[in-house]
Amino acid sequence: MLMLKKINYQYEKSQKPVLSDIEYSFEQGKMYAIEGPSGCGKTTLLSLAAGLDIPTKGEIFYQGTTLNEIGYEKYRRKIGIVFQSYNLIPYMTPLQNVITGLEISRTNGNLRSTAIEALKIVGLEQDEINRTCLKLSGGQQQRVAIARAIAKKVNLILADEPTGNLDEERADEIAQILHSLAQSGHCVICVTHSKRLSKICDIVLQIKKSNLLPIKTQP
Amino acid sequence: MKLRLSFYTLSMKGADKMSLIKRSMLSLWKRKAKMLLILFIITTVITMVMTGFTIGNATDAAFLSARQKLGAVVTALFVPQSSYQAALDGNPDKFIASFPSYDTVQEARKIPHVKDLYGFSSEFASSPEAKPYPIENDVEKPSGGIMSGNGSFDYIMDGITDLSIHSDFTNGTSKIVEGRTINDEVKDEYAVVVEKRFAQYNNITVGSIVPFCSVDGNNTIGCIVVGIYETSRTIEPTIFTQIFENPPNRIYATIKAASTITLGKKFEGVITRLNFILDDPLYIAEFSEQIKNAPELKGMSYTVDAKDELFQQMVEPIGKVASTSKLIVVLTAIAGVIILALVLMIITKERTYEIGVLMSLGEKKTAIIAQMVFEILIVSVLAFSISCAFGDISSKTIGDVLLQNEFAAVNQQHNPQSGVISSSLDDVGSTQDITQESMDIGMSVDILIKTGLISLIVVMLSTISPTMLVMRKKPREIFSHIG
Repeated sequence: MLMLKKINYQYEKSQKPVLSDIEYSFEQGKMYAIEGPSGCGKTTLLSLAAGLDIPTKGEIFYQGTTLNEIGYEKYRRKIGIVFQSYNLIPYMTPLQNVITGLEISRTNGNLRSTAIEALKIVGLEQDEINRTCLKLSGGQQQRVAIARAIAKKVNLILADEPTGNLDEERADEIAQILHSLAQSGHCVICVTHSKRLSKICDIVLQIKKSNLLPIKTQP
Repeated sequence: MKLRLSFYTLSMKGADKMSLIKRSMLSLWKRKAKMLLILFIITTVITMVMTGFTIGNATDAAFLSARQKLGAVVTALFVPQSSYQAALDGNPDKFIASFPSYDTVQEARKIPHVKDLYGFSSEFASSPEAKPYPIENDVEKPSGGIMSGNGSFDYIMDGITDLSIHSDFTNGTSKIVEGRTINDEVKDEYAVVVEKRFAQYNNITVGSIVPFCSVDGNNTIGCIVVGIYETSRTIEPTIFTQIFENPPNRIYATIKAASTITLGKKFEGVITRLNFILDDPLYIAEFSEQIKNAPELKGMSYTVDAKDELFQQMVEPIGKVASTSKLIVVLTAIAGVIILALVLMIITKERTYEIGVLMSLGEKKTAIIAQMVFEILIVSVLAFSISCAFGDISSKTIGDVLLQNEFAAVNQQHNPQSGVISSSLDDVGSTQDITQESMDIGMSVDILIKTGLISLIVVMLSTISPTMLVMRKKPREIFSHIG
């Protein structure tokens, strides 16, 4: 599904690479957790995998084709991304945000009902989906961001701290949703500090000394 | 980029277009206050540019109108090499040959761009029998006026080859009300055409014989009155106004009569001036140069007067308004672009996050630019409509204020005491024409197109450039920059 080949990343003014020769292949139907201490490069790796940045060295393959060949814009339309800071368009309502995501990814069908369905899955009430995002709590905004990613019906979902701002009950619900997506054939990659989320992931990876190492694998 | 954008918009699927339009409208609605500010700025810029163009167009028209008011006349003024007395003492035939004759007038008609032509000579005259028509509401004169003591300067006697093409008679200021005009048919007679009030004052009718003489009382000739004319010319009497300046005291005569009476029998037929009436005022400058070497006037000594000084006086205030209007267009366009670009940059900077979100979701850069441009175009169309409604009023107001200021300045400069620019007893142009020269300021399709194009370029540049600046970054860079 998604293959990282000798990925290196170094910030312009930094002497030391954040990521060094990372090689990994993410498979369809599995849920991954990437762990590691703050500043180890988890979000950087996810950004590279999401096509939001370009590695200093190395190639990323999506379904056997490099992101360069696919085109970064097109690739981003093919995947679902949940950002740590939600990245919602502030003047839009949750419903409008999800519909905008669907429109950009050229999703067919009744976009409004698809968006409402996704927002229901993440637990947003009818009155909440028509409120301006700015008036929603952090947890509600995070659920909108998740709804926007899962509504797209894509094979790959990348999530940065998807349960970071949710209470335990909601976090478990979201974790279950993501897990069920993986079980239905999606590839879900989460960057997280949450042990509860890591626990239900099929594979847990850790970034250590600029390398990606598996610490739990499914039997 | 513009082409790419239009191509993009055209190639977009219906749903994409709808999505873009929906997003733009939503964005506009949610940013009402900011969009009102932009609307105000764009309206101001467009109105000022429109005003500049409108005044510019009006000044062009006023230049042409001023030229047309001067009658598209170029005068060749024949300057004698010696004085008339010296000519009498020497060789009068040679002297007279240095002036154009009736034949010269016929020949000179063939010069390109000459629509009409008449020979002219203008001198003071007197009469032993007829009395000059008094100046109505005249003011008390001090003794020892400028013309007293050296003869009787009662009339201006204009010798002319064809009175019907004299500017006063073509523009309706004067008209023949009885009898006939002066033309080739009476060229060999001592014939005159007199003003109606003068005729009534002296009991003169068509067919009367009236004696006229030079100011020193010599060369008295009995002239037959072949016609009576009426004029609407008036004067405002001052202590300097002389009796001959009173319009009824202008006598039109054949060249034969005028030259014999005013200069003497030996100078019969002297034409001192040729007035060329051109087919188009635009050729005046070119024609003025051309006749300096015209073979038809070879051997004659003359100066060319295209009323340039008068024209310059007439158009000087308008010229200044024209340069001011050009300055308005240039300065407002520059200031407008800078202010608009800065405001849009600030607003676009605020939208950096939104642009980053759209890019991270996979939106095409061209679509993001199209959305930004579409939003600003909607505001611009509204601003343009407002400007069209108020541009006319603004142009007229600013144009009038500028013109009044310039007239005041020019009047002060040319004649600080009387407040008039010049005084002319010539057959073309007058003080009234100069001070009343105005501009017909009005909107035209041409101005709307020009203003629309400039506004479009300004708005596109101001929107696209800051958006491009944001979009040259990768989405992650945008977010980390904001963070």
